[in-house]
Amino acid sequence: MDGKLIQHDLGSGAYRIELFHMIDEEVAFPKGDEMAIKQLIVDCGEVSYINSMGLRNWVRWLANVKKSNPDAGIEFLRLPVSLIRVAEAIGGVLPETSIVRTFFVNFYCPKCASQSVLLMENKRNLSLSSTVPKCESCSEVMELELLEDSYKAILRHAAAT
Amino acid sequence: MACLIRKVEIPEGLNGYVESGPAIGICNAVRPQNAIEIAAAHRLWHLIHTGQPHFECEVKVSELMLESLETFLKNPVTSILTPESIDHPPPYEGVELSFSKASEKSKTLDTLGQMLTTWKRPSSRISEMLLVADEMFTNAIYNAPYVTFAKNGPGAARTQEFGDADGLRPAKIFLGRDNDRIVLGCEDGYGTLNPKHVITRLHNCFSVGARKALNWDTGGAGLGTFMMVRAALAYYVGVQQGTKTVVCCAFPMVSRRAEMVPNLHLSVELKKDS
Repeated sequence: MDGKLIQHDLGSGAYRIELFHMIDEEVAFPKGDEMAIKQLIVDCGEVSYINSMGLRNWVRWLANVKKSNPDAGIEFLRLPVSLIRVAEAIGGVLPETSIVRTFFVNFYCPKCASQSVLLMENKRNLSLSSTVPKCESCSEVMELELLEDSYKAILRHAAAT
Repeated sequence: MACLIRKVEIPEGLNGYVESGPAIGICNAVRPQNAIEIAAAHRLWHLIHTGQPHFECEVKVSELMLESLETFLKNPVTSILTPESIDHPPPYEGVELSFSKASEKSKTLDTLGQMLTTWKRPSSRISEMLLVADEMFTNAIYNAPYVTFAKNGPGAARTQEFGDADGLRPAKIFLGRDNDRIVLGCEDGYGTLNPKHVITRLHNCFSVGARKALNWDTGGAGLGTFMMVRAALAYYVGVQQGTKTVVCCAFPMVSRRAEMVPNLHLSVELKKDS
């Protein structure tokens, strides 16, 4: 535990990793190649952003997990917009067979600039534009903060069922 | 199709040294990678996108950086927000934070975050700006003192903790805003960042893909500049070789949905004997 990562051993080869603040050069990821992993759940809900060094360590960590545990299931919970933007720009941030269970979608009001954040459950063929809420302050229809295309990389990682 | 629309030639004999000729490129790129391709293909260090807000202001910033780089280096926030009134700038809200060791990163970023929160920026935008500040901070501590202008390598290992005994020249991060834009910047006292390498690195990230451009050895990951440029409306680099580097990014005050095509403004003044 370095203040930015907590690892929970759930038993039977299942682990849950919680990440906090910024993912940077200081985050000590568990050694993926030294653990027998059947299931890895990564909760990113409290992450502010990932920097370039954190990204390198993240990609290396997950590649090692997959290399040593090819059958391990990897799931991400509560992916924030900052990680969605990175996944959009940089291939391989989310391992090919991993699943994104839930992610955050940010909205803003074009009239009064209010913000709203929704936690969405990832589904195949999910249409984000159909989820746009009304502004709680002025009732204007809000807009997605990112283009819907930006979520493509996430939607590809929806569970099959 | 994205293309270079015109080049504005600047009279020769100015302070700003431009290896590729003193020109400002005007383009209509629709995606960031198009803009970087145009900059690399035409060897342009100043490239402005017609679809961007503040287009005319941005052309003036480039002119200022080419004509009087020293002015930009002394007053980067004013140069970016109001290049036309550099001698009588309006007062800007902002903050300036000095640092000289890696352990000061959290404190520095926390202060910036608090300032941005008082400016009522969406949390996702604050995260994006803090990411840029993080990259700027890291470059100032781990890259600037350990690379040369001729060879911009990946810098020192990020696991090293440099302290006062290492005698690093202090750097500073600053933040300023008007009603439309926020400028975030960093100044170091080394002047080792080479704009030619910046363009090459960006072009590499956009053309082969950022994942393939990752540096797996010690030093930086090689993606910091790419991540900064992707987050910003405009990216500014002013370098006095061996003396000072100022790197800035401008961000919109209002939220935006479309992917931004960043303007580039890179100027360097070489050492007289180089």
